[in-house]
Amino acid sequence: MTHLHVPDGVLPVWLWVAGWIIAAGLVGFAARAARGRERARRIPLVGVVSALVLVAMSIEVVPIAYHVNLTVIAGVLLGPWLGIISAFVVATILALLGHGGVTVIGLNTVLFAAEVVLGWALFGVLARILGKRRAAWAGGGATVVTLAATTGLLVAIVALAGTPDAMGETAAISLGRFATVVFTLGPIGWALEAAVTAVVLGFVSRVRPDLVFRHAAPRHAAPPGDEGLGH
Amino acid sequence: MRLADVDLAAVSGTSALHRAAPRAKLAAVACVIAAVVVTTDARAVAGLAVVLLALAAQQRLGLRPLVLSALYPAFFAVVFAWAAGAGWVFGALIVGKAVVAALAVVMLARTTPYPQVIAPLQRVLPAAVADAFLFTYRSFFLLAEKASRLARAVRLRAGVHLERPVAAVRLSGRMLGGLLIYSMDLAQRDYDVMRLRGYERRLAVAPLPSRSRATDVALLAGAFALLALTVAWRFLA
Repeated sequence: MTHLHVPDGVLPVWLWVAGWIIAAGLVGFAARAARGRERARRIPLVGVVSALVLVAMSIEVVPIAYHVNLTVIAGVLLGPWLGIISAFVVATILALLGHGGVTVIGLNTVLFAAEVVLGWALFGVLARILGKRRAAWAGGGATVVTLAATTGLLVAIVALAGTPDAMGETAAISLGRFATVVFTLGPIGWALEAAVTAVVLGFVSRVRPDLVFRHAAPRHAAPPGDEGLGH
Repeated sequence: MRLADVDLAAVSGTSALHRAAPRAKLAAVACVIAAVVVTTDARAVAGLAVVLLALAAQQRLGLRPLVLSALYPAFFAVVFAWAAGAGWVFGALIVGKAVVAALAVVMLARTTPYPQVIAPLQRVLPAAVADAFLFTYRSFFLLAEKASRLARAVRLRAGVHLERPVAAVRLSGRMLGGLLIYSMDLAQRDYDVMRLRGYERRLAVAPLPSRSRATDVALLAGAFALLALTVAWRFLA
């Protein structure tokens, strides 16, 4: 997840307030979309996927302390509206653990939601183009493009914040240097995240295609009485 | 990330802060965050940090986990300050703000059970969102336990080795895939169980009453005083 690792009190007030307003609008809209009974039964799924994202962030993929974020996978599993709710939940819990500022929860929700929604959309498009058998490639490609786009959004947010008046004379932020660092180190994270996303989606699409492709039949028919299991 | 440790500290502690009303603690944290936002002086930020650490020490909350929790955002604040080309002064301010804000929220998290942090927010959050917070809390421990067992199984069979990164990524991905499938079934079971218990799209958490009014008053007064001093420092000094 492209997470705004900016502490409280660094970004201009108008910027993080705007983030909260946008996030509130997105979450409110998403909550309205989740009101029906069929949607409501998926709220536990939102909780589970959010918890999965949090657990994944505490697991090292390889012993270099890199952690995956599973944003594209969350988007594929939840869809856009429930994915936005998950984005807000994860951003808030991370802030409660001291991982990211409280005032920037809104901006982090926007970033996370952008990854979830974009990842969902791109995966759908790529899966249609490449075919369901290449879900791994679709997932990996969607992840790289999504993370590149949201990294750009992150730089744009920092660009908006780079005004000298926010904190007085010492407030200047070197946007060029920040963008250079982010876009130099970022592709390493994109590649790792894409690799893990590709393996996970490839694995799940073979074992439980109904989870990845909404209208696919389960690989194994559920026993009578258990038809409710699996979506 | 030690959500389990934080949760254990929150439900098993006996300090005065544990007895304070969750709403008072939320308001106090909001005051500290506001002070962090307002100040532009690293010395003021250092003062806030000293006050919070002194409070934590006096309440015997355990300085080591608190400091470690604050070092994590401090690391990223250093990276951000360096990447953004901030000078030493602004850089110190950025890192200081990260530490103080983290100390405040982690002290809240370590003295207040998670559902009680969510309870006041339920009034302003849509039902779906509030319920998602609670389902996340419930699911996290189940998934963390499952992930731990999966990781142990992987270690016993082959392990993840840096010298074979492709195999490591593939193995980690399949482990996550297995955890994901388990979590999907967990979500369905959760819903079925909650429906049997009468769940109708709103989980209500009753806010805990305060067990120490004096602590609430002292906490709020202290937080307001910190905010007032910080504002005065910013605009009058």
